[in-house]
Amino acid sequence: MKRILYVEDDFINALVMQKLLKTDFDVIHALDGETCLEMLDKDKFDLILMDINLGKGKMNGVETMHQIRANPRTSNLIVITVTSYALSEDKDRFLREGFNAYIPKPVDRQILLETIHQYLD
Amino acid sequence: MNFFREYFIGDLIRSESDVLKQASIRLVYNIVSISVCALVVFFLIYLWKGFHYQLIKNVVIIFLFIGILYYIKGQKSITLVCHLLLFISWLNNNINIYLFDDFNFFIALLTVCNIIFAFHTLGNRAGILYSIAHFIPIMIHSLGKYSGIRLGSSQPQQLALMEVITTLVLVFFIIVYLIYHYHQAFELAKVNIRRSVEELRTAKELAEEMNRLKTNFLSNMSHEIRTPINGILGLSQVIEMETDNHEIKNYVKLQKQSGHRLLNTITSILDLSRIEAERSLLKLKVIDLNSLVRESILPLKGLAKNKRLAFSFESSSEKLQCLSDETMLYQVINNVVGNAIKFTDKGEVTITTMKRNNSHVSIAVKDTGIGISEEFLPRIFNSFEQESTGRSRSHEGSGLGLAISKKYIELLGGEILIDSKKDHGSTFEILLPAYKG
Repeated sequence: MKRILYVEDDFINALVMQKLLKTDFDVIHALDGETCLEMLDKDKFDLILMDINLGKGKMNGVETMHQIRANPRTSNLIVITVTSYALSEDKDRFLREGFNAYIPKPVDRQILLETIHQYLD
Repeated sequence: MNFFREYFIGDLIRSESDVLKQASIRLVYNIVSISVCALVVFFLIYLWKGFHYQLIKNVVIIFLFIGILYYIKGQKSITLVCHLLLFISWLNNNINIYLFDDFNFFIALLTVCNIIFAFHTLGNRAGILYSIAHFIPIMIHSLGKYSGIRLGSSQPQQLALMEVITTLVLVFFIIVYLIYHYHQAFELAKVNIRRSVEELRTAKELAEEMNRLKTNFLSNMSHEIRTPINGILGLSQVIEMETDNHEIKNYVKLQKQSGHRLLNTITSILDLSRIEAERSLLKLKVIDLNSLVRESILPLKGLAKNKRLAFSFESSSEKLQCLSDETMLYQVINNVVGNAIKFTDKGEVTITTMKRNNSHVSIAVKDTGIGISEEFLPRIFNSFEQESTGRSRSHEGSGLGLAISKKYIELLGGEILIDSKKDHGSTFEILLPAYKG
C-alpha cells in the first residue's frame, strides 16, 4: 500500500484523514512542519498532504513545502494542500506557491481519492 | 466695530464654508458700513453748518444704507445688494459721462473697480455682464465725441486740483484694498485646500487599513469555522463507511446534510461581508459570456435531470463579451439557475443569452416554477428571506444566494431584473455592460 504523509496540527482532522483513506492508503501523521521534514529525512513517502496553518509560531504549510522543494532528495515529491483556507482567491494563491493540487476543507472522500489517485497511478 | 460686524454678518459668515464667499460678504459689509460712517460725518458737518436741505437728504441715505445692512442680516444673502451697489456706481459713472460730458481717469479707475467687484462677488457670468454694461456707454460716448456729436447738455466741469488728488488717492486706495482683500482670501483658500487634501489622504489610508483588517478577520473566521466542520463532516463520512446498520447510515446522512447546510450558510455570510472589503480585489478580464454560462450550468444539469425538468441553454449566435470578474459571475449564474431549478417542480428551465440594445449583454433564466407573489417581490433580494419564511420552509437554503448575487452584479456594474407571477414561473435577467473591444 502506498504511503502518504499527512501534516496536520489538529488531531481529530488527522484521525479523519487516516480513516477516510484507510482502504486505499497508509496515512502517517506528522504534527508540524519540523516533524514532517525529519520524517522525510528518515523515511520514504509517495505523497504528502499538507495543512497550511500548523500552529502558532511554527513553520506553516507553505514554508514547509518550500523546504521540501529545496531539498534535492525530496524536491520531486507530490505535495497537495488540504486546508481550511477556502476563500475564492485561496486556490490560485496556493497553486502559485507551488503545491501540486489544492483540496479545501471540509474534505469530501470522493474528491480526496480522485485527486490522490490522479497523481499516484 | 467687531460688535456691529458680528451683529450684521456673523451668522452669515459662519454658514458659508467657502473662504472666497466669506471675503465677498465681508467686503460688501465693509463698503456699506464705511459709507454709513462717512455719511454720519457729513451729517455732523451739515448740522454744524446749518444746511437743512442736505441734512434731510443725508438722513434718508443713512437710513437706506442701514436698511441694506438689515437686509443682509435678514435675507442672509448679498447678491441683491451687490447688484444694487453696482447699479448705483454704474449710474453715477453714466451721469458723469453723459450729463457732464466727462470721461476721465477716475471714471476709468472706478470702472475697473466695479468690474473686479462684480467678478469677485457675483461670479464669472455677472462679471462679464457688468463689464459689457460698463464698457458700452463709455465706447458710445467716446465714438460720439470723436465724430463731433455732443451728447451731454451741460458744460464740462473741471475739478479743482485738490479734489483731483483726493479722488485719485481714494480710488487708488479702493482698488488696492479690493485686490488685497481677495488675495488674502485666496491665500487662505489655498491653505484650506492643502489641509483638506491631507485629511482626505489620511481618511483614505485609514479606510484601506480597516478594509485590510476586515478581510483578515473574515479570512481567519472562515478558517476557524472550516476546521471543526471538517472534523464533523469527515467523521460522518467515516461512520458511513464503517457501519452496516441502515438506520445509523441514514442518521449520518442527515447529519451530513445539516453540516453542509451550515457550511453553505457560513460561507455565504462571509462572502456577503467580504464584498465591501473586496471592492478593490475585483479581477476584471474580458469574458466570453456564452462559454462562461455553459461552464457554470454544467454542475446543475444533474439536479435538473433528477427533478425531470427540461433544461436547455439557447446561446446567442453572435459572440457576447463583457469585462467582468469570472469567479463572481460564475457564482451568480450558478445561484440564479440553481434557484430556478430549486423552485420548479415540473416543466422547464431555459437559459438564454443575447445582446440587449448596444450597451448591454443579457443572461435570462426562465422557469415554470412557483413564481413570486407581488407582495414578496420587493423583498426578494433581502438576506435570510424566503417567501415561505412565516410558515414552514418548503425549500432548503439560507436565503442568502440572491442577496449576494445582487451585490456581485452591482459591483460588476450590472443589474438583475425580475419578471414573475405567482404560480406562473419567473424570469430572472442578468444585465451586464457589454465589452467593446
